[in-house]
Amino acid sequence: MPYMAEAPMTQQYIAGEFSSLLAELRPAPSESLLNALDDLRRAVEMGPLTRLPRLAHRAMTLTDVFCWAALEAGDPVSFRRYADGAALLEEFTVNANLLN
Amino acid sequence: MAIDESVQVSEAQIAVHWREEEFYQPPAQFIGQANVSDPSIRDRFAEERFPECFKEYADLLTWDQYWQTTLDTSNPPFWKWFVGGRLNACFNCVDRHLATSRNKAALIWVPELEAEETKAITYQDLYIRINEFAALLRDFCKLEVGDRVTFHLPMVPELPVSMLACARLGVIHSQVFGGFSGAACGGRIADSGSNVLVTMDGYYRNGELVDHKAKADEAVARAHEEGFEVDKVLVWRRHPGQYASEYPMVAGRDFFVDELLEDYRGRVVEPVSMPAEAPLFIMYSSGTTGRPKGCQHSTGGYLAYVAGTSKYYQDIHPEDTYWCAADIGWITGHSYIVYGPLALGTTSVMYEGVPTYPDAGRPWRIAERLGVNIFHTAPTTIRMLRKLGPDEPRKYDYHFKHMTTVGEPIEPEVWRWYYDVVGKGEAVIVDTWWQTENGGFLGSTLPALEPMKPGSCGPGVLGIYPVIYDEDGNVVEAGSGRAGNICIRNPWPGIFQTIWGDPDRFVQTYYEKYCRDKASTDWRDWPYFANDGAVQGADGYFRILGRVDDVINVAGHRLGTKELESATMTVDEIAEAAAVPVIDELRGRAVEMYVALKPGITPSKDIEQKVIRAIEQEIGKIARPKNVWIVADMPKTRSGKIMRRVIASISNFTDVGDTTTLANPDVVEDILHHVHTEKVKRGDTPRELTAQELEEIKAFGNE
Repeated sequence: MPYMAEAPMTQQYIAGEFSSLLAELRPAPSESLLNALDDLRRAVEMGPLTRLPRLAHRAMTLTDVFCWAALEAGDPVSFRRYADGAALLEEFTVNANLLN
Repeated sequence: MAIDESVQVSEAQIAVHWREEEFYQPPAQFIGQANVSDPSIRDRFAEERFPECFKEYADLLTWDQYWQTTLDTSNPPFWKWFVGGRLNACFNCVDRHLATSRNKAALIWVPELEAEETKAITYQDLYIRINEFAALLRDFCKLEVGDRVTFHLPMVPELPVSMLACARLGVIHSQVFGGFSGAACGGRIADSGSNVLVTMDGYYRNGELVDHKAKADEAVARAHEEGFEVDKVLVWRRHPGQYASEYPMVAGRDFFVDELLEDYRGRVVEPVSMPAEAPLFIMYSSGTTGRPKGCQHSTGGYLAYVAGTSKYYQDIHPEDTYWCAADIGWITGHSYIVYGPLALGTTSVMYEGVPTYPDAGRPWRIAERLGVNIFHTAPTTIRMLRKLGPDEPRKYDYHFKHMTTVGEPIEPEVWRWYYDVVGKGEAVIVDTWWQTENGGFLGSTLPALEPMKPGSCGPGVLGIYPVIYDEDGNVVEAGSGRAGNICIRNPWPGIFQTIWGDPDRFVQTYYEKYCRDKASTDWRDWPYFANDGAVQGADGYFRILGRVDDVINVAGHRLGTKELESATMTVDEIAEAAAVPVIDELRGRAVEMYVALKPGITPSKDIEQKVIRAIEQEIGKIARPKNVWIVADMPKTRSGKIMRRVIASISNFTDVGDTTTLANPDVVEDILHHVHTEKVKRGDTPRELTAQELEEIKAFGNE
């Protein structure tokens, strides 16, 4: 897949907002999912901006997992929080052209 | 007919098929009051007057000592501007305005909670607060000229106060975006070698008080892991006297700033006269290897450049109320919330939280209440506000004279909403292109002199001479319709000085690619490689491409899939669209469009024709799809992403691969049956693909 360059225009703020929205998903349903969230956040903050679309897809998948984990635990409050977080993430990443 | 592989073009020669947009002229009312309305300014900044032309920007500042050499090129590409000159950035942003504007608001801070009081901070207030905090940094933290301090602060007035206090002392500040994790902050602390971290206990976002102190502990721990020790953590309190964090203060390391400041009330610190080329701040930017780059910006060159571009491109007058709705944690905030506007003595608005909380009317309420007349934001925010509150701006009685969009390419239809609805057709728009590394704008229109063109940032700004090169360093001519790598042929005062601690990476990343002679001290041999793709129209306006999309190469014309899908979506009946390549004996690749219709719409040949006509009209006949397939639904992942790889495989009669992880695997069989049946009926039977073609189809649409 052709990429023009490794560093597109100044879009640091997109990485920043993306990271902030991921942070709002804390606390995670489990230690392992917390690690997955932290790994993802680290990749958003530290990695090349060109990787953000891929990370946005990963984030949406992860929010799915969070929601299912909350449901399986019979925790509707957390489910609602994760679903709201997922909606905000999707809204932002679509508007940032990270997700189609 | 065999395809001539020689027609394949390099990545830097991507043909761009995007309908040219019409020009919008600036309103007469704007021209009448603009800082620049004399066209001769272009002559003043013409190449034959470089580099002396930038004296016009430097003369906006107050210098302790005038410079002897405007541009020193003796050690390329480590350019030095205004050599011999001395000044203080804080003095230029605050002290010098006291004589005429002591009681005028320098900053207006809008907290996220609408019930909380908006705070206006006058130049006098700002002067006092900066001096007291500078005294604390100098006397309590023992900071000296050239030391580094890391801030991890949210959007509160304490952030510009801290920045300017450092500038007053000649201490180099490094603000890490407040929303970033403590780990990211810790890495930057270690890289910059900051012994002091300045943070806050909490801040509001989406209506919640976020515990921010927790990140400070994490940051210090991360810095320690990287072999660096933080001596002091200074904690501002969001509500002085009340601690908002659950994380305890660490004795001997953590200190509440509001308590310490009691010992520094009324203290005045003389601004340190700094050499023009002394570093003012470090701003970290995402790198290409997972290691952020600390972009080191100078004092004199940077401040002159942001003052000049703020005056001429933001059209800031001292009596304006200017709101750049960015975060100071990014270069936009440094240049166009703090340093540029304050150097010009205007009133700069800053706000806490997000633009869509409690609702999408928030920005327009703020604009109405504060009388904002210059507004500045990014396309992502514009898209969000347009989607969540398309009619909200109409409810509020504000009037912008000038609006800016920054940071990424903006779609023409989004631009038009910004112009018509947000700007009420009264405001001029400048679309800007630049980067963290650049300090200030590189591409934009002079708002009273050059018409606006949706989707294009405009020509190079004053004193900036851009060029587009192909991979081999040949110039891609304006109007050729071909894209390449945008470069700046000359140095400019706002350019960063180096990557903190890594000068080799600085040279390699930005200069090596197109350097003509490494032994040369002539700046003409050292074009700056911006790492962005762009195309230049015959009118001289640049359209920045950023990351290039998936492309389908039709007879040597590389068509972006997003452009094809965007054109298809202009047909009313279409809900979703996906473009894929199909191997074509005549053209190499042809385009096939897959579309899903809106609920209640019946598939028809008429709709297929509408799609074809829309693509021909928006992009051109070369993009005419070979087939338009109307499907009940697109194969998607659970997160909603259309699996272009799967439909590309169907179009090419290749194995669709594993579809079990899709949200709707059943649709794959239906689409495959429909498309293959139709193709066989039409005699469009496939030949066996080569291994290379198979690989291409298999990889299509993969991120």
